[in-house]
Amino acid sequence: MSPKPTRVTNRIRALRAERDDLTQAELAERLGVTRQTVIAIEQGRYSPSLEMAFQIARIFELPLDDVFQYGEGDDH
Amino acid sequence: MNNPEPRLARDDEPPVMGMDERSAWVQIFVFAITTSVYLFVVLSRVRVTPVEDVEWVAPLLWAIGISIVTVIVGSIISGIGGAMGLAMRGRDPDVELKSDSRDKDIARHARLRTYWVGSVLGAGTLVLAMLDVDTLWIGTYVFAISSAGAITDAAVRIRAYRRGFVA
Repeated sequence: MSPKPTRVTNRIRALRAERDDLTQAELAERLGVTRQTVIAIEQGRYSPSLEMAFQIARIFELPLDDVFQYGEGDDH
Repeated sequence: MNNPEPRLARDDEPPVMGMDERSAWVQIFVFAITTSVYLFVVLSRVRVTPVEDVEWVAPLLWAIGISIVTVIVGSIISGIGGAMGLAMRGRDPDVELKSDSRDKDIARHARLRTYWVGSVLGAGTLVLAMLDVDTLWIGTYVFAISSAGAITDAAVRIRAYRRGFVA
């Protein structure tokens, strides 16, 4: 499997499960994006804009860094 | 008779390909085929006819016209097919096929990475003109690098959709 293109990880899938099984499509609808984009974010294939990241955190009523984490490694 | 409200996709249903990704697939196939056919036709003529007598303008215009029309029509047909498939499953094509911020980011990502195709390879046109080669070679070269740009753009977009990217 090819490495993920970003070191940004997230807990969106786990948080959706905790929030009454919020589906990918429901989250996408609230963000105004497609379900494919939510799937890409969850799988680490797409890093959302800072604005969308804040929107996601607000939907889960959590601080940004409780939803998104920046992986350890060499800083460039 | 009222149609039932379209439903949202469940998580266990496979995601569908959006309109922009469909267009990228159509673009890569169409330009690969039309460019190959053009090159085959013109280069076949060059082998049996003096270069200055080879008719290349009409094939070039046909190749450009067919490429543009086929990409547009192919994308529309692909979109209609996808929309019908979703509608039959009770899902909303407007929601699932629309373009969003990720599509725009991917398009920008592809533009940045294919800029060199036009700019660097484009300089080759000047070299050909300086060498005073036949206009057939200049026209063919310009068409070939335009096609290479379109194919590279589509390939970068498809890769970004499939494997991800960092904006």
